[in-house]
Amino acid sequence: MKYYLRTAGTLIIITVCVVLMLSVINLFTSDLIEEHEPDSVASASVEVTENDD
Amino acid sequence: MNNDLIFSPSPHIKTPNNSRVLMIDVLVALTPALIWGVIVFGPRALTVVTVSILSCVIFETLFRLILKRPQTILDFSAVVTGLLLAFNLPASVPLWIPIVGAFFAIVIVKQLFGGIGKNIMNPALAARVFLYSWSKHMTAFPEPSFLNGEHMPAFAISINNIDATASATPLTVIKQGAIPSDTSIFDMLIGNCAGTIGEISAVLLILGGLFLLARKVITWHIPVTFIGTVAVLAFLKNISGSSIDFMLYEILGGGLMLGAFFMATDYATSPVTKTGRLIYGAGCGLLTVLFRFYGGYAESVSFAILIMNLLVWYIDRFTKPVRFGGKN
Amino acid sequence: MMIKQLKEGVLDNNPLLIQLLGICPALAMTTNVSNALGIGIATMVVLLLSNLFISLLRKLIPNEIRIAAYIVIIAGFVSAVEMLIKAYLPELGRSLGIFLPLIVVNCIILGRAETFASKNKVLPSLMDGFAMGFGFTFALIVVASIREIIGAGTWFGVNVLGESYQSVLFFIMPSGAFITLGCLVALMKKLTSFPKKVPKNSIESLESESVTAEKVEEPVEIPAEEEVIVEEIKEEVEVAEKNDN
Repeated sequence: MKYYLRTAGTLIIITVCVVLMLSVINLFTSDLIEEHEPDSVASASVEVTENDD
Repeated sequence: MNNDLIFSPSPHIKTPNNSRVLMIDVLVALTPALIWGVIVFGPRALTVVTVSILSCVIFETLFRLILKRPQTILDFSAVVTGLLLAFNLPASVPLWIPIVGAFFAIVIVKQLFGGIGKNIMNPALAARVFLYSWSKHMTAFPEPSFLNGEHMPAFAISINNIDATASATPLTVIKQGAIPSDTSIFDMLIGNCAGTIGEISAVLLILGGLFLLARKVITWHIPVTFIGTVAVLAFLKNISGSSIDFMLYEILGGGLMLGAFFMATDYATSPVTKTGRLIYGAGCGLLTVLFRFYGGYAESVSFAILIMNLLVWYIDRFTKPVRFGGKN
Repeated sequence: MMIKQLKEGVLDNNPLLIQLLGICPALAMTTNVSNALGIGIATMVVLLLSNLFISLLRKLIPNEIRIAAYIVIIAGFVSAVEMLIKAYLPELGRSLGIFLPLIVVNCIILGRAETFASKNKVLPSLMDGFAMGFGFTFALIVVASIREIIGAGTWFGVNVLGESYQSVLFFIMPSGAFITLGCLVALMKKLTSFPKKVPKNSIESLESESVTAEKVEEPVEIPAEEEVIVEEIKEEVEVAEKNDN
């Protein structure tokens, strides 16, 4: 039992740490990425509404 | 210090045949086509041939010298590669093209793999395909001008207004969907049409091929199956007019005769077993027809032979004869 | 020790040209020097970070899950690098395209983690990451220079062969990539091996050239592997003893 705790546990801890690190980086960079590469569906609807004015 | 005593295990067979004799036979067989090429395209064809052969010999000598290996130019294989490479070029190519092609054929395809007998594909054909990078030069074919007409300057490094005087080979016309109207079958047989230096005269190439067959340099299996497959498939795929005519246009046009007798039969890159040779010849023919009709280039014997070269190892393994008493 | 590691990374044990790892980006991303530099530096950064953390955690990760753990760590760093590049260097991110996330499966990173970082202390592992990354980038730049100069007449975007140079399309296409890389690997093998002087008259002078060349390289590799095998046996004995308890 201790064996499974050690192996699976370590793997889960590592994964959780990596995900935490990536979420932190995402906080800083997601706005900048949106600016440079907007998702095409979202921007298409934005363009349509702007033309209505 | 050269030993006159040769130490080797039995059987001991003495024959005058060695690489040099075979290569000289090939050179003799190609000479009528060479003379015809010079007659039709003028002295510049001879310049291109000379540049090609010289470059091949020089590159092979230099390579063996720099890497401190024994010299092999005396077996004349570099000369044959040079001649075959030149035969695959239009007479109007700039003179640096055969030099670059010779470097690719001799250094990269032949010597880097181990020298004569160890190349995985035909060096002259691989170089020709490599030279398609400069497709502008490789697909501009000069008009046949014979001894009376205007000739290209023999020693010019490159011909400037080749686009204005270029003419279409019969195969290019067929690729565009028509039957070549101003080139008759007789013209293509004797070689009164546009093309590369060595491929135009079908009858002279067939003569050379028969000479090689008589001298037992090549066997009938590869040329017969190669040309036969193309003939049968062309007969069936006739685009307009008489089927027999179309079939003859296809087998007399392009590099088929040159390829079937001289390029596909290279010892290092063709199968050893007789059945293997039949499969190889048929495969070459099938691929030639496929690429001619559905591929991008009008001429595709080179691609077909190169692809079959890569399959030779499998063909040999597949057609290995069973030992007497051995398992199937 | 560090200088030796650097020399090994660039010459004797170059990850691309001698170990033949990471050939995929070497073929696809070397059409020009700026792409090659980009991928090389990105790979080196990931190598440094992954070597650092795998070396730090090497005593904590159980042997049975080590590959899975390494891959999670490497993938994490690659995703981080990708997000940072896309945010702060968008043009580079666009030209690197799909090959930036593909650094995860670049065999160099997993290979060095398995062979070196998991068995050595932090500082040598960092140096190894730097040496291997530098060697990889160096090799990429050489391939890209050849392909860009001959294929397009430019180097790093600057025209070097004159306006009238006809570009040779062959070298920009994949076929040119394979042939350039092949010739470079052959050249590298020749330069980093030290064949014995064989007398010219002997019959085997041609064969022995290649045989002696290979012989010289082997002795360098064996001690490290023996150590590895001994260590692995030790670890398995430890695990077996723990399971018995």
